[in-house]
Amino acid sequence: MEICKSAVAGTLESSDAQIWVEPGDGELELFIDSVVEKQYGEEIRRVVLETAASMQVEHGRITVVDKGALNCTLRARLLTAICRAGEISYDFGGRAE
Amino acid sequence: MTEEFWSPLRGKRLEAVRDFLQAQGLRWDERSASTLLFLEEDGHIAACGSLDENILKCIAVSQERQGEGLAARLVSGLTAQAVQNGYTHLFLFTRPEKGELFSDLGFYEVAHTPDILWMENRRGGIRRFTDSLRADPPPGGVTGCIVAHADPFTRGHQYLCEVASASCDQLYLFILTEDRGMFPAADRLRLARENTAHLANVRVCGSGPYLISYASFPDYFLKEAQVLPSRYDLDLTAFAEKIAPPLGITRRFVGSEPFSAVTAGYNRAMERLLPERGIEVVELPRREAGGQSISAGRVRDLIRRGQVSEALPFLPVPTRRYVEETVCRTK
Repeated sequence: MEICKSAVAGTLESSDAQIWVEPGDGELELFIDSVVEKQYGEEIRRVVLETAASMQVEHGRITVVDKGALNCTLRARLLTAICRAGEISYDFGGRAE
Repeated sequence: MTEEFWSPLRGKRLEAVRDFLQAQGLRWDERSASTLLFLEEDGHIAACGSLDENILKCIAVSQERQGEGLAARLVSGLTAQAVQNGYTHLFLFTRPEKGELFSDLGFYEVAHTPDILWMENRRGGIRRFTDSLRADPPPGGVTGCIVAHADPFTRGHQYLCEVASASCDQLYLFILTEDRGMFPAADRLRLARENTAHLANVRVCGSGPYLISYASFPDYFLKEAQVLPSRYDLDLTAFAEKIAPPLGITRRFVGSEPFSAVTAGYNRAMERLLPERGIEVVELPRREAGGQSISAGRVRDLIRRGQVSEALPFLPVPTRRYVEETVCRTK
């Protein structure tokens, strides 16, 4: 899926994450800024890359400003940001359209 | 607590916010297009923050509500609004001692002076900007630069470029990216390229959001008569410490400024701030045509008054052609 515009989802409140998805040149770039980077940085990276891959996002820039979000929250925020950036709708109860 | 969103803030609430900020040692900024408020049950302000295009400002939390995450809610809310308005590269200015609070909220330093910390929401944003401009391999010798609005590009600009080009091995010509003048940035950039095509060592590029931008130096675009000397410092510090070193720039060329007080003040500030940071400032006297100093401001005045033919002697051929075409088209 192509990222056609910049989008953001989530908040900076505790236990949430603000995730930016932006168009970029070349391969997928990922920036993680987390209060629990030392403990869970690798886990966050894995969840984000997996979620991006599940939506076939191969180019662009993803920035995660994490405030201790659970994996399910990270996934939901990223999916929302990707859908906004790709201008598609997504059925969270089922599968991508 | 209740939440209110104003675009713009006015009336009694505006007065309350003004007082609230003042009590915290901050000043209300008239250029706040929208404001997000958190109010206590009794109507008192718990926290406020405003948005001016891509700039977050006037962010404050009451003494009683410190440490409850209200700043995070403000920044989240203002960010969402900015993105909805089409801005994704966001900036804020704060006191240096507040830097940590905002770096926890996804903001990173662009530059700082002893009084102000300038932050952006992209990690290494300013470094990416210089990376995108850097010549590979880096050229030897002296690298100079000119920063110009070029609204439009005159024979004065061309003269400045020719002199600077001859005295440097490489010259960066930064054309202001902000679209707040008479001619659009894309056209100004293209004309700068055409007008310097004969100078092989000139690299023409946009100034981006870091050099004389609405964020770094708003006064340039606001046309106010009086500018505090300290208002120049942030833009020039960012240039001297974050932009010039990676690009190897050691000389900045500028035309003397007999007309605009803001620009003349900026030139003085350059002389005050740049040499001590290893950048030589070369100020060239303005070129004249027909006994008059060449100035883009004068060209714009003549165009506005419909006296286009009188403006033409100030313009090099590509600009002349462009002005004739665009001005005739709009007539």
